[in-house]
Amino acid sequence: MSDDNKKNIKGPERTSRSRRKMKIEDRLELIKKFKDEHPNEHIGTDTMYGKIHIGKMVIQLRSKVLNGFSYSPEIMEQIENLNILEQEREPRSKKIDRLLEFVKENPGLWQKYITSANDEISSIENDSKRKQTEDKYNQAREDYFYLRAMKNSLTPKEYQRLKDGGVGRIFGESSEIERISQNSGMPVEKLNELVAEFGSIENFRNQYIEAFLNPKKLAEDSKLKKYIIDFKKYLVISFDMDNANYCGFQDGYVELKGRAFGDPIFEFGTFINNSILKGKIDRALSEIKDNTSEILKERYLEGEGRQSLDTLAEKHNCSSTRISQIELNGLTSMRLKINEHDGEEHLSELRRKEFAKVYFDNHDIFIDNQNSLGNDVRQKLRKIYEAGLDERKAEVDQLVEEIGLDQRELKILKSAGIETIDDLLSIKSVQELSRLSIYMTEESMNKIKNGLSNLGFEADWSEEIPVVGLDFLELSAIDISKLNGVGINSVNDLLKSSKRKLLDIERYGEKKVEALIGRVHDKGLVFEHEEVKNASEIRLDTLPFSERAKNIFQKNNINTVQEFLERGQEILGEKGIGEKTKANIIEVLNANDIEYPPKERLDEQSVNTLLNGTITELRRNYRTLKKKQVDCNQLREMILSRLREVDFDGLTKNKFFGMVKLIDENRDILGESDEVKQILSNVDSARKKFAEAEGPIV
Amino acid sequence: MESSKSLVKNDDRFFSKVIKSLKRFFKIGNIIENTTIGRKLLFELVNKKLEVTNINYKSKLELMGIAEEENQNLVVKINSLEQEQERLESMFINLDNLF
Repeated sequence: MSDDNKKNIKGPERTSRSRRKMKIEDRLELIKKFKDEHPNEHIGTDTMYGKIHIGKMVIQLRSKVLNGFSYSPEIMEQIENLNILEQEREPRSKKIDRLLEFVKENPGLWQKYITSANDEISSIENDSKRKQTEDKYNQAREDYFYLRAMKNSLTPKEYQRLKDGGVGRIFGESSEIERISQNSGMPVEKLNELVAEFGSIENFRNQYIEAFLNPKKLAEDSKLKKYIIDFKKYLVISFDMDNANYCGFQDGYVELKGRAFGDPIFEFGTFINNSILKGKIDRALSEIKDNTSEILKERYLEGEGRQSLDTLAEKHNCSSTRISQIELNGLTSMRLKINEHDGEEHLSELRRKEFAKVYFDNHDIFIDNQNSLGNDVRQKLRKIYEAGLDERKAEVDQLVEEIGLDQRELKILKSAGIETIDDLLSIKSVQELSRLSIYMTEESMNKIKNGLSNLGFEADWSEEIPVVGLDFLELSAIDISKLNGVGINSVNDLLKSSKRKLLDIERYGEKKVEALIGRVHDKGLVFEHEEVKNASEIRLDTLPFSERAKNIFQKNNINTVQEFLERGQEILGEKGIGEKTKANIIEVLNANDIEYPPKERLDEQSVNTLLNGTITELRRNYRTLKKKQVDCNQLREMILSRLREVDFDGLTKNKFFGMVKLIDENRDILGESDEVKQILSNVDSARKKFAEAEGPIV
Repeated sequence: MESSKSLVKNDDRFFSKVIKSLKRFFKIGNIIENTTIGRKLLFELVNKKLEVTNINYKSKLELMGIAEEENQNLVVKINSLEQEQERLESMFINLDNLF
């Protein structure tokens, strides 16, 4: 560390004696003197007292004592009195200074910045300043919470300083009302009036929110209305500044949205955050029929409050029922339009990933402050977004003509109402496609499929299992008639049934059913409920357990896997069941794809707690790591500065080789800087000199 | 000036839209498939910019794995730094005794 970086505090000059070696008593004397003169100054590794490196002195003392170096009892007592054995924290006064400065720089708003999360910071700063400010805020927040936690042990003087600086309120000096007044800008007298009227601010706020979502209630409650109108300015501001324009309850957007989406009362928070509500509704209104949108506007958005059906009926010269019909239709088409627009937001997965990557790389995720993204990043993101939209538009809006089909197929599709590729892709199965028209042949379907894949679309048309007769399984006539007897007329029906159902057939035993199932599997078919059956329906006696295991199941009256999964723990815990049997049971179950012992799913809350714990640990470890790195660097600097001072030519052989030994032992931890290399090469050349002279050069 | 201002305004609308859908995507999708994103998320959690509750169940489990791994790495690093610090301290004392 260069001398400029050291904290120079005025103090005694170095005497010739102190240059060599100070006695321990003198050192302690000096430290005591320093502490007396500068009671608030923290002694760090880099603290200089005049020309004496007092920080180094403290470190040495500390290391010596901690490593068991024994001083005389009087000296030990002195050391303890000086209170230097433990690493000192930053003095409180410094924290207070910093906090007061912060408050001074941010009058009025400081508390908001400190107590709210980082999003406050990013919303008020642009990109370049952000990092710097963030550090400052974090520091202020840390100081603030530290001081608040220590408030009982603050000295009256410190307390007075904080109070004078305007921070006194954090110690409970102010009431809830003052705090709200501070945050919302609402005068204290008005707030007191509110409390007198409604019991508490909270009560008022709840009623306000309710009224906000339900204008009807507001119209009935004149007291609430009066206060809301009086306080609206403050309240809206304190809830959400951005949405202040859209939040006015007179303008009907709230209700219109509620009606259009079919959820008249929606979560307040969702609405408040939805700053694009007005835009959405306006856009949808502009895209539906003119007369309908006019009526909707008149009914909800114009004039004082809602207009009645009768007024509108008179105005438009028709019945009120007709108006009501138009309104209903209008709301429906509005909902469709809004949903359609929302759909545009869905980018393809690839695009979203791409978008997320740029977003992640440039900004902290999940903070609602797009403002702090740089302009170039915005452009980048916008390009990705637009490319995604184009992609989607291209995909969806291409007409079926683009597939390059013959007139015949085109005609079939058009007559079935299929206009775009999107329509075509929405078809679920081959059967559905073939049902479009009686003229649809297999050849046509293949043509359509090939045309789509040529364009890069993959139609997700699963093959419906065609209706296949039971003779497909090459069963005997008796079997077929037996199956028919229980309502199984085709292979499709058979696949829908279960093993249990088959076992119910007269004269159908385990072996027969197994054979039938085997035949189904041989033909490459799978039972519809096969997976479900695996977990719950499999009977234990169909699985190859050992005799002992089977006896245990029988004894406990356990017949199916499901039953075993429920009671397995208890049964395997019984006395007299050997390890071998247990292993056999688990092995057989696992071999049949049944998970045992069942994994327990942690509930959401415990996962949260666990993750939070890990993250706290992580946070602590990061801090420790950083601190250790700083400590090591400081020590390294101190060693280097010591080596820098050494005059190789003036050393005795013993001293020189002592030093060389130290350096050699610790070469790997000294770092790789140019200075280290320089010192090492100096040492090497001096070593050569010593070797040549074979003796001390003095 | 006027035009750039209006662009920003539009941008805000645009971004709130896209970021909303982005969030939805992350809540539904599997974030940690991409470990870089997992680490980034972890970093956000460590810096208290993100709440654990914002992450879906599956991703939380995966994040836990990454976090534990990271913790182990850190402990190893801290231990080696501790040793380094001890050595540096003793070297410093010895050096000081020498001169």
